[in-house]
Amino acid sequence: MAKHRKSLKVAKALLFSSINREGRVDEQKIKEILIELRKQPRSKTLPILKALLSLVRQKIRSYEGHVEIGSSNIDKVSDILSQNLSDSFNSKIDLLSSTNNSLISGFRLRIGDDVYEDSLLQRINRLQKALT
Amino acid sequence: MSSITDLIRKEIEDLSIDATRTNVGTIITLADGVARVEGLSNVMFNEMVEFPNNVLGIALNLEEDSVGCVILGETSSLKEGDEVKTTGKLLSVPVGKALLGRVVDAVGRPIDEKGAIDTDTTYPVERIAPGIIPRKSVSQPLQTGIMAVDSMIPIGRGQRELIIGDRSTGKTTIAIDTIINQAKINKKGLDSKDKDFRPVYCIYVAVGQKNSNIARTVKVLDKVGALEYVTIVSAPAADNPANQYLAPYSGCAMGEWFMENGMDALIVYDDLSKHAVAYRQISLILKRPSGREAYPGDVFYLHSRLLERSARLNEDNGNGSLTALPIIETQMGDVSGYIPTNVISITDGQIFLETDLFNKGIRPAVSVGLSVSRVGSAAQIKAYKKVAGKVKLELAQFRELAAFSQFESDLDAATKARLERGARIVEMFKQSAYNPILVEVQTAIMWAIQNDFFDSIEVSKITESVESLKDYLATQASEICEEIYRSGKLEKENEDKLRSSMEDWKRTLS
Repeated sequence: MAKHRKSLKVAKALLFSSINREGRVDEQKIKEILIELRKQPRSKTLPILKALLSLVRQKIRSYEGHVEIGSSNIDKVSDILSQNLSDSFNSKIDLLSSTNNSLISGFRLRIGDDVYEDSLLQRINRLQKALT
Repeated sequence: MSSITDLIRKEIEDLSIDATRTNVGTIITLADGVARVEGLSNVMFNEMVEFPNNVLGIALNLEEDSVGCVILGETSSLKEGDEVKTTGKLLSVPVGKALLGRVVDAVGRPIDEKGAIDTDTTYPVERIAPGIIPRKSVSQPLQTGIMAVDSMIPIGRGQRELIIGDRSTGKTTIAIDTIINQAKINKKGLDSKDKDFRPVYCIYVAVGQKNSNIARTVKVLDKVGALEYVTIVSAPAADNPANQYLAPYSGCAMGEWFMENGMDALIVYDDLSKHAVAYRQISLILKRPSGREAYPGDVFYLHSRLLERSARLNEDNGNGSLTALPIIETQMGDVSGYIPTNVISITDGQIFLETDLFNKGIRPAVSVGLSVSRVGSAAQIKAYKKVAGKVKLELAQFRELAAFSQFESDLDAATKARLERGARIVEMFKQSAYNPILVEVQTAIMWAIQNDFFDSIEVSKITESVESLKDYLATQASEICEEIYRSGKLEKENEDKLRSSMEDWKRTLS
């Protein structure tokens, strides 16, 4: 437990040092950190790397959204969402978009730990839950 | 015109985005009914979370980089990488009279194939116990129907009385007898149309029991017609530890509904040793620091916060009550174990059952010396108090004298008389399972032994004679019993009637 906490502390410091001026994870800096960590014994670096991976993933998720769109008009919806998100989050959000036909229509957007959804599939599920 | 309305309608359609926001996470590890989830940054402590396939869980460990969730259901369908959603709700269970006669699982879902439970009210499983102001002292009796208990270790409504003993000493039987007796009293009271009658509804929480045992209990309660006043919360040994940990709290929430709505309820936790073991299992998997016997540091709080929720509320708060009968299994009669001492210190007394007495055929195997009720005597009815007041002392003296008399060949008359009386009381207290006796009948039997009506009967025939007296009272002297039941007192007039009835019974006996 104490070892885990120590690794987490180190990983947090490494993440902090790898963040650029735009508040994003700098790929070059991460590469440099990995080269430095390779020089350390494996038993020490493994828990730090695991914690770093989790933190980096979390950080990237906070400015990289993933939107699934349940229609063929993917580019148009994606553009509208991207513009609206940047306005409401006060920072640029990179949006990766894909088509998900199971949504039938509407969208499902994930940024960080939050999922914003307005799809026909969700409404059907909600109705099904209310009926049972 | 139509083009204008179409235009406005289209504008509305474009605007009506009804997006819902959910906080989600991802399963990173899954073992023994506990999932470690990355994400869920907005989750609350004890919040219900939703896994795929409608499997529910509770967030129990909120850590810096992950959340530990216990899963309340089938885990075989879950895998690493699955999405977990917050629900914004604390775990709640259905409550109300619709639950009576039903068998439910730890989260209140019916498992008796009798259809859905018709109630809209839910209570959160974790609630703060009533404070000092809404409480009231125990003043009304809760009769178990077991003579040894009602006479020497009386229980009051709102009391917490521990039933403790080794395995197979009759702990569950005492609890089931008490439930059956409540059903008997309820039926009689409700039939009498007495406005002041307060029925006692029961909740039986089975934790870590064999499914066959739970099925047997349900069958027994159904057979004697007591099931209609009982809710059974089942978290058997085959269930995951999370459900076993939750079941007593769920049962308690169901009991609290009765208490807070001005009714009386009785809850049996069978048993809290297994509950502590389930909690230890969860805590160890969640990597919480362990202490004595590998139990986590908050194992006392686990039971204290549960048992403190049983109370007697005052008139301003509805006058309801929740009586608790927790059960603890000891190892080799050792009451000084970690969990037994914890629960002994929380409760208002204990009924200690001894293996030796049980093996000698003294059933219920109540140990007079180690059993105590700290508040119940205040709730005993006057008539019963009058006849049973001295019994505990007499029996304690008998046990002591019996031990010494083994070394003595020549005993004085007073000692012999005490031994004779003690042996008769021991025999009189022998009672078969699932056969509780109503308090008015108990009063009459106790009166008979206190007034020497059993002195001429051989010790080996006492149990048989008690059965015969019970039959006599039910058929020939029911008015006297009714009078005792109605008034709760044993006046001179009633005593005279009892004396003549007893003399009559003695004649039929000979």
